[in-house]
Amino acid sequence: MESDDVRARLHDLERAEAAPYVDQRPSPRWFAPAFGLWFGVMAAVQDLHWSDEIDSTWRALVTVAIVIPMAALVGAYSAWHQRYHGALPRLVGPKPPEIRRVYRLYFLAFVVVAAALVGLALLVPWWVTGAVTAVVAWGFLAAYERIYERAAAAVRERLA
Amino acid sequence: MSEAERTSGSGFGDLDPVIHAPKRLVAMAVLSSADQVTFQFLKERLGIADSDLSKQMSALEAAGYVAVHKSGRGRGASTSFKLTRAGRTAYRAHRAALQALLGED
Repeated sequence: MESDDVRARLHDLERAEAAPYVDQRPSPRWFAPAFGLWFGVMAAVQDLHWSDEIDSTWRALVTVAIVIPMAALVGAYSAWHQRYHGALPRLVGPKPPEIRRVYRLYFLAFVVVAAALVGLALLVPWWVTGAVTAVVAWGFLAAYERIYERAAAAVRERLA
Repeated sequence: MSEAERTSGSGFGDLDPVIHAPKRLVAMAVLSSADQVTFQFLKERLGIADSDLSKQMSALEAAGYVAVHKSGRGRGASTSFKLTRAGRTAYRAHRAALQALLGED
């Protein structure tokens, strides 16, 4: 096998390996608001669960009645994501460096934002926690998707 | 790949004949970066017909490199693929062998 052939084959492989990360269809418009709403409801329920604003029995019932369907939504989301995007990129293992940087940024920002929201939850009523979390999560995802798309475009250009 | 190539000691022996075919190799590369990939996604990446992709994926499945998952029926049915542990190992080894060939030049 000629070295040019091998080089071309490896380039094809690199492009194919990047495909699950960079050949994704854009998320539909409802996705970021739905993401925000899900986190908002979960944050409100958690805050309510730890508050003493309502009777403990009611707190437990409300928590179970909301958390179970919300968990089921995660399963529905996974199935939808697989069907809509066609590929579930691996979180572990090698990936394009541009995408690795965005993942690192995402996890770091997620921890900081989550810590800030937990801090807020200690100071304000549960419904304020829920509302603020919903808006912050919506904005967070929208910003992340823009940053991710820029990184994906850079990968596509590099491997073109 | 001929037997002579496999045993020449020039690095060809490390290339896996099952995945050395370009379409199968690209399919393995896509699968190596994903937990699961649909038939449609692979078909678009490889730019080949349904029947051709089915044939390529059957060869990989027969070698134990790919697991197939089918869900639903009728129009809503979907087929997806994922690499098995053996497939991931074989792909890594094949990729390393290609890189080694380049390094030897």
